[in-house]
Amino acid sequence: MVAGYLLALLSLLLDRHKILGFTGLLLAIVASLLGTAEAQGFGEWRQALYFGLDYFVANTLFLGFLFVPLERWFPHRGDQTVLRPEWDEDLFYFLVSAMFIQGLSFLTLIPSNFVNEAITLDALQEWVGSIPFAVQVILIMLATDFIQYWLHRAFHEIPVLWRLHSIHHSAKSMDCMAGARM
Amino acid sequence: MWKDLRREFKRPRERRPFGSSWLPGRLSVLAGIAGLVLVAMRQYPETFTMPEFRPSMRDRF
Repeated sequence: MVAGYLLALLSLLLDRHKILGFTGLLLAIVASLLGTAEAQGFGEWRQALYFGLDYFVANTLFLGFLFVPLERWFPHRGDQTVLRPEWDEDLFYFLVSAMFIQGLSFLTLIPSNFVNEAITLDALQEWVGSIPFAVQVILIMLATDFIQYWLHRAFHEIPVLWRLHSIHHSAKSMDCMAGARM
Repeated sequence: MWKDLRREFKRPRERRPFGSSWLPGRLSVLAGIAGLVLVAMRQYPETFTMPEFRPSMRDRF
């Protein structure tokens, strides 16, 4: 928030267009005022529903620090800026998928939970646990890639699924955020 | 205001040379949003944080 105040001040002093500086200042003031309220803290019982705002922050920082410099240093299209057309739309999808991480994780794990309950996999799990860690990593990457390939292919081949999935391929500008559409 | 803000965020490179202070302005908005997000996580940790991330935060509240 201190950085927000200082940057907003710098922008207001130097930039002819004041809208960015004013917005930054306003956001910093609102955050400061809200921050003075007493924190709710953790209750005695775990709340059933949560939104992964921290996951969104961690994911955005990770992607930003990793890919923004890479895309700047090795661009496919040199004229494309970080905030290219439709960036806000993709960021919105990114935010929604992170916020609903709880529900999405639950849906993603339904098939594996079903398999775990239907079939006894103790021997297989013990065998996987006994092989070297590096081999486990390679195996999980191959298995994930295999499943993702066929799932992705199903989303393209089956008309009902394609209707849901076509938005994922509607991006006109490609960068690390474009894949967030789903 | 939202339209002006979007237009400023998308200002092309040739219209924001070094010294135009476009970057600090943009970063101030991002810092303000980050401040709001962090405040929301601090005020309502059970609503806005994942249980997997909480052990590192629990001692601070």
